[in-house]
Amino acid sequence: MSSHVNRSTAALAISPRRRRLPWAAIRAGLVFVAIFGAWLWMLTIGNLQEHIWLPFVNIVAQSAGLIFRVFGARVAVSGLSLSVNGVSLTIAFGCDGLEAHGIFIAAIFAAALSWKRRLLGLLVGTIGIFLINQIRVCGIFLAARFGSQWFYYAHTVVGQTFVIVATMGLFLWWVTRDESPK
Amino acid sequence: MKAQSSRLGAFWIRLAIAYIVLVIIWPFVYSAYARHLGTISAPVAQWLVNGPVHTRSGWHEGQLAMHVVLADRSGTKRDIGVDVDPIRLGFSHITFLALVIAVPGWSWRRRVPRWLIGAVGIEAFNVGVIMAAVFGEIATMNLDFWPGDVVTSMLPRALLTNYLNLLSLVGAQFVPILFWLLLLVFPLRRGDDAKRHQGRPAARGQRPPHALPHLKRRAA
Repeated sequence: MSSHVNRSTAALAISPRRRRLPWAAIRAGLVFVAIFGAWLWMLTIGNLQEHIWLPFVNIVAQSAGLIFRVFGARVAVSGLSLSVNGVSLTIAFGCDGLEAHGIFIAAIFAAALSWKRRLLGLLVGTIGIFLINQIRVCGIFLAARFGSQWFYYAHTVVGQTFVIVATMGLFLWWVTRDESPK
Repeated sequence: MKAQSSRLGAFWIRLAIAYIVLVIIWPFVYSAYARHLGTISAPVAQWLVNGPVHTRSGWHEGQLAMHVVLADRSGTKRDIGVDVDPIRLGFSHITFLALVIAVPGWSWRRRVPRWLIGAVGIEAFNVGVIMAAVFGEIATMNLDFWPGDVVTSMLPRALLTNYLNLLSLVGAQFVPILFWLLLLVFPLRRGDDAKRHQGRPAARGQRPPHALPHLKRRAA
């Protein structure tokens, strides 16, 4: 008996520790890539561009104009263009935050959440990312108006990074949020 | 609830500090980073073109201008200039590193190898963007070594010419997020980790017990 125990202990001692592959993480990664890829593909479909994405960009432009008017700035909005005192900024595809929406949607579906939390997360994410993107659009417009030398950095570097990172902060907040009854 | 708020507060504070520090450092290193991109891209271009290639890189109007000189089938030397944006490509690293520093729930011993794996992945993607730019240029110029021996068999021409911009635009945002989620966020949600920490506070260097509370409940 004793020798049996010793053999088992020895076997345990010399056998290398088994490292399981993180299948849940790999599966989540694949789901994320598939959904985000599908979203990017949808952004290139002509019909969707005409009937969904373009009206959405229009809403982004109109609401940016509304925000400026609330703060007393006389910003004119014409179609997708914002203008004041000869400075004009056109909101184009890519300035609408749709990629960030896609990243959030893909991450929410890839995360191990209940369907209720996923659907609520989509609602929270849609509103949150829209607001985050409005901050970027308004910031870029202010950069174009008051510091044109900084426009490139504000548009390409700071603005894009801000939207993506804030979106991920929103995602992290949603997945780590405890909803247990108090 | 309070612990969660403080953890997320710590996330934002760490993220902001990491970003500020990295953005301050960036102007001092991005020139070197651009040169490094040119250096590591040259052998890849040589391998893909499957012929004599000479690459040189330098600055031109704030962009990394990379020249690939190669001989076509008639032996005539062609100089192909490619402009890539090292600021955008380099910022993938800044975004990734700032997120790696900020994400809660990982010890530094585990964080650093994951950062290195992600950084190598981002480098591979950046070299891919430069190669796509080179071969997109070759495709646009209709040089007679197109179809090249290797490239046409690997990539459809439309992908290079039409989606290059989308690739560099979206990829620079998407790739660091992908590596961050894959290496540091999705692996956190493992029931065994939640079980391991249940009922006792995390020791220094360990993941905290409630990194993802809904999973802890599920594991229980």
